[in-house]
Amino acid sequence: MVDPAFLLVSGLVVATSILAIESRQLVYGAVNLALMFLAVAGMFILLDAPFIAMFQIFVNVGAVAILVLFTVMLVSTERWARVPRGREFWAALGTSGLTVLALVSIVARTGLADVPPPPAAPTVGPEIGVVMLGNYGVALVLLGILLAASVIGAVALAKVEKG
Amino acid sequence: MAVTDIWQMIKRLAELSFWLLVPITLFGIPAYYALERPIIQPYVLPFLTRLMSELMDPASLTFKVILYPGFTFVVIYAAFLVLIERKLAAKVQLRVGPQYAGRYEGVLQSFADMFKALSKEVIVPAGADRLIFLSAPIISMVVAGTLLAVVPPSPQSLIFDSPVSLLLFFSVISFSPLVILLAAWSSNNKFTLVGGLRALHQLVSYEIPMVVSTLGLALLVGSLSLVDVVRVQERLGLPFLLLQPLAALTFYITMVAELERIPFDIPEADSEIVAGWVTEYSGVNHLLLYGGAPVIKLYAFSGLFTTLFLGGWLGPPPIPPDLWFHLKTFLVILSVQALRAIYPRYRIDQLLRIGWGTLLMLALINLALTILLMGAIQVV
Repeated sequence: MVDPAFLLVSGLVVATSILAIESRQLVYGAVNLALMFLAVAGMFILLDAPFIAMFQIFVNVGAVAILVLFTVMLVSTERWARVPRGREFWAALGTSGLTVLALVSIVARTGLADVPPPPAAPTVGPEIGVVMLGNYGVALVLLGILLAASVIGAVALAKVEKG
Repeated sequence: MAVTDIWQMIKRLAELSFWLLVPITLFGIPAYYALERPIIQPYVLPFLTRLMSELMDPASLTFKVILYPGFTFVVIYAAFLVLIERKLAAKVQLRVGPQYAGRYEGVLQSFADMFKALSKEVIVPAGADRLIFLSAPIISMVVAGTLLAVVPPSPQSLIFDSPVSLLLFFSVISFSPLVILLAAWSSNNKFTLVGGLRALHQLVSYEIPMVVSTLGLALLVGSLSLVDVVRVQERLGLPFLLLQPLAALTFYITMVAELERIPFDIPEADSEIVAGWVTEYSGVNHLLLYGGAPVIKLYAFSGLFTTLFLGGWLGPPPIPPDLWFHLKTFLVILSVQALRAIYPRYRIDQLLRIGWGTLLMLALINLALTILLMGAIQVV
């Protein structure tokens, strides 16, 4: 038996991501992108990872989605030209639908659904810090260097030469 | 059939609904008893009795969400906060303030304003994006209401005890620039767009020093739960205001900026851009965006400041813990409101320089000092 909350959240993720791509108006696409990030945060909460869920909302909804929305808002509000859907669209839809069906049937046969979930308490606070600085220390430092490089690059791009 | 025809038909049916009442009264009620009271007796009545009994029980979630410390309490509190703010600003500036509604000193002014706003027409401007325009006030109210769930007036009357409640507060707050930007864009007006862009700059850049300023405190506590923050202050015997004065200062200033209050009311600057991003809203939407959500947010932020830096519900025993919390929170709210009567508005470039320069530096210095302090304690 599948958790109904999981079904609801995953349905939301799929629906909002399709809407984010297919919206005729760009602003609605950006709003649906924000909703999709929110639904993914719900997925993390279902996985007993509230810490990651909060950062998902804080970074992706609070910063990334707003940046996208801000950019999209500067585009004119006229509706975009509608591209007629030809035979290719239905062929692609059929192929991807068949692929998803095949994958679902394969997964359903493995007996993965019958494995009981591990009795996990939500992981918050110091444990995450220990793991991040222990096993993933090098990756963390590399990420820091990457961020510093991008900030320096942004400053270099934005700087106006005088004289 | 065209859409207008269907609409006309629905209207006609609604007009005819009075005549539906007659057969319902004549035949429906006897039939209901003849069928031994279906649906209502087995399903609706037990639900209502359960709802009533939960509303009587202060420990139940229903009571907490609906009555105290949830919406009923906060909405009435907000109405009086608006009145107090107006009276306070008036007294400081040698005016009288609202005076006539209610028998004494205009105590019912907020409620009079509320009923006036409720009875006014909701106008949707031409060229506005109707769906987003009308849903923005509701989302803004939802964001403000969600904040109430994690601020603890006392451990007994906390709605949602999460192990990451501090982060939850900040992540919910990070929604508000999104809502403001959508409201500003959907109004199809230059003033609202300018106000929305100003709000975007202000809120996004002040979120960073606000979060960094609470990091040192979270390090000291070793947890992100607001209940744990107060418990640690209880064990230490002194509020974090004395241990983390730099963080308290930074958090207070960023709090005022996040609330878009004077001296940081740049997004809704009345004398420059009409009412900023709220310009096109009227009636009940104006009530929600101008009198509802901001005041509830003010209460939630002041409650967070009290919890983080003033020891939350802690205090000598004759006064119950909830009352201690509300006394401290009220003082914080009063101090924020007093700023309005005293200071002029900053310019946006000054605001950004303060945020990215001074406040972020102060928050980082506070974090470094806290780490040094903790290292020194471990060495000793």
